[in-house]
Amino acid sequence: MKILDNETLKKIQSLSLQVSIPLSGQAAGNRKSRSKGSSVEFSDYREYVPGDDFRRIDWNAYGRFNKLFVKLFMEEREAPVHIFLDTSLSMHYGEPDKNLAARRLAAALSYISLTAYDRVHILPWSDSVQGPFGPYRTQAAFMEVVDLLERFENSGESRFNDALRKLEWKAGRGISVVITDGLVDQGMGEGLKYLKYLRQEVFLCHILSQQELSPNLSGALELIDCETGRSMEVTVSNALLGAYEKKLKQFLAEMQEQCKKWGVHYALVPSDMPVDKMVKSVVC
Amino acid sequence: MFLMPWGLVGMIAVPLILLFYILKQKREKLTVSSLILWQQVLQDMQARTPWQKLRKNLLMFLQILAAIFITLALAGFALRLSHGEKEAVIIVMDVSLSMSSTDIQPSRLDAAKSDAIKYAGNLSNDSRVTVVTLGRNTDVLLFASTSKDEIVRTIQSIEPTNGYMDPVKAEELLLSLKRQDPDANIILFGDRPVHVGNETIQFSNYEKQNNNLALIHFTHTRSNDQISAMSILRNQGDTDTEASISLYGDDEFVDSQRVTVPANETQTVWWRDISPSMKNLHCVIEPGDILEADNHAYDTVLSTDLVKVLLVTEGNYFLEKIFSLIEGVELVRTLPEGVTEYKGYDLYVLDGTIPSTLPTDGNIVIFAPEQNSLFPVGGWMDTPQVKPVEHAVYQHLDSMSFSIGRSRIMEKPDWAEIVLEASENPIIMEGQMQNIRILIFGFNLYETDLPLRSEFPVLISNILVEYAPAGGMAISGVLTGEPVQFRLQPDTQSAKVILPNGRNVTIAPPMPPQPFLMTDQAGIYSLEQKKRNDTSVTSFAVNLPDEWLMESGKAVSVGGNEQAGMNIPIQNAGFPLTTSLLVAAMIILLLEWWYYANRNYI
Repeated sequence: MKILDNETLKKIQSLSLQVSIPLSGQAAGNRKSRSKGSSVEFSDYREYVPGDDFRRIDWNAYGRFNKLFVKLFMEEREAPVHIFLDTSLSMHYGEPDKNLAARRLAAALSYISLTAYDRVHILPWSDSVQGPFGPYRTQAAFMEVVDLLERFENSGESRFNDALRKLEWKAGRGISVVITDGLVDQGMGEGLKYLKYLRQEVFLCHILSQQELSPNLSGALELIDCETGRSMEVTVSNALLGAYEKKLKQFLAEMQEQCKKWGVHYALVPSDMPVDKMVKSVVC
Repeated sequence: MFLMPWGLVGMIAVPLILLFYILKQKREKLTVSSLILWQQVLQDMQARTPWQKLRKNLLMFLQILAAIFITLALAGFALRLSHGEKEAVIIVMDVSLSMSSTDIQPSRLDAAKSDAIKYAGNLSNDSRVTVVTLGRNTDVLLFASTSKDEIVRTIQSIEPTNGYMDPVKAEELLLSLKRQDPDANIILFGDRPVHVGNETIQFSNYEKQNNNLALIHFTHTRSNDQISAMSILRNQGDTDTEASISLYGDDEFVDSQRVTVPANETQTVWWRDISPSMKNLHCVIEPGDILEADNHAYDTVLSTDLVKVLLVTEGNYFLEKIFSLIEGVELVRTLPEGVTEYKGYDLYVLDGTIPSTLPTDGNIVIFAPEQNSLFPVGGWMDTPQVKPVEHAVYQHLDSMSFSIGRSRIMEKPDWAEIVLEASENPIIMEGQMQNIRILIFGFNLYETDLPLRSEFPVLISNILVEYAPAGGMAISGVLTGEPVQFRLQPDTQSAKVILPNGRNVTIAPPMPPQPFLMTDQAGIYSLEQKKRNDTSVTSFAVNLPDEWLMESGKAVSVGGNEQAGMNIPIQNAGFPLTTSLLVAAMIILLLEWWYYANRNYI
């Protein structure tokens, strides 16, 4: 199945990941950076010193203060966008498959990042991080991203914290998008905090299928965890389903609360949501 | 109280039902993305043991209730109505041959005695207990006793017999006892039910197996100086049985055959070319089975000694012909005037003549007596209407009706008894004078149609058996427990019987001997008759009765109505609730079904 069609791409091409922190990319781009340089974004004034580009001298200020000042402008840099894609076995579940939804979202986010001249890295993870793959810099590289996303196999258990701990990564400021179902045994807090420590603008895309959000089960069942193979027996009743929904709401609320606390953008994305809406719910 | 406590085994159903409810049911497997949330939700509902928490479940309670009711019904739960009240009980012990079977160790009778003692022990102290044994004879060992010790002692003293149970006598006795005490409960400890009129009796059955092979008949015949014997086996069991049957002659092995007897069928085994020198035959089924006693059968070989009969007649063709036709009879016929001395014969047949001096070494049969010194004889009585009384000469005869043209008018002497009479006038008389038995026919055979009747040869044969018992006319067909009436030879001075175990029992004098009753053992008995000059020994065999045939045959004739006189399992006095409990269980099960069919599934 094609990950993204042209119509979806058209719908999302005007969107972009909003970043609230200055970036430190190497190449010029559309993002404001801490570097002062040539752009249209005014930043500050300072006294002229020999060697400065005299083209930036503000002559109006010289007229008023009789001193030479140069205008400082915010240099626009590219944003390194790291897309952490959960490829654990638990993602291969639901109707539609969370895995497919996650890759579509990853592709869509890659697309809008590439359109905004950002540098895209793809980091598939389960119990460890593969890659990183990239960087991909131009829109032309989008097809490479799509090819890459289509290649990944689902395997292993979700261990986000461990995976990040093992990752040898020297990232500067940038954007990290974590696409996962959040069903991680040890939680994701440590990993998300680590990303924030690395001065990342973090987006958590929480993908869940309808089968998880509102399970339609009945009778005596032996539930088997597709990642660990562990099983547990339940006799499904209305009371049990009610308790599950309550627990799920609590789980989602806690996750949202924690993300807010850590400054992580959180978005709950059902796997059956159209991709453009997924992207909008992430970026808006 | 429980009438059948073994039925309480059904209580196992209760824990089983509980087990079904606490055992985990088989579940459908379903793969989910993660158990994290489910584990948190079900943390308190999931246990690591194979059991789950027992939850309130109406179905389970209904099932347990139904199981309890059914079990109580099986156990014969009854309300004790007469608890503490004194009871009247007739304990009936079957002591017939089959109760010696060892399918219950040590034997059926021992087990029955043990149970009877236990039963008696559970009765209230004031209960009146009568103890009766049913064998060939029915004996009341104890009547309406209230002494527990006495009851126990009596039951303990009961011994098995080799006879069969006579259902007719049993019924008569028990009905009689029941009439004396209508409230009495009859408790039968045996291996076969007994019908007692319309009374319902309680029956403890000790027939655990019936795979018994029995020798029910053993006899022989002599021809061409060879003996052929025939054994008949009956398989009383429900499966075909193979066994080896052996023949012993005078305690030495003769032959053996292997036979398969079909279930509930008989099988005849022939033995040919047995040496004529054999005197005693013993047939044995090997290996043994649950009843060893009926694996043996005995027979004594007919003696080759001929019965010497002297026929003194003017020429009675019928008598000449009939005596000459009977095998084993050496007939000497003579005219009355031709007899020089009445001596040397086993039987003297005097037709129309009586010598002045009677023989002393043989019995006498007289036809149409003339005037004599033994008894008064008058004229002739025309066409007398005869009326027989019971006598051995009528044995094997269905009727003794024949026409007589005329008969001597005789007066019965003191030493004689009337065997057949007409208008109080003896037609046939029988008596004994100085050890000589005399049978007197008042008529001439030519003046009756008796010789033309089929009963005639039987009558003459009976006369030979009765009045010339030595030699070929040996005692035969004696069954254990049956009395034997010995007809001693006239010149016998003393007689004794040697039992199979070697014990000697003197039976005479006095003469004539009383019926011999000590025939409880199966085997070869010997009758030793001591005369003036010599001693004669005659052997006879005593065999076990065919109990199966005897009892089943009579039971049918007596039983008749299966509903009346039912035999039910032993129960203490109480009102059985079996039916009520079963109905209740059925209602509960219906309720359960209704609930199951109509409940809302979640």
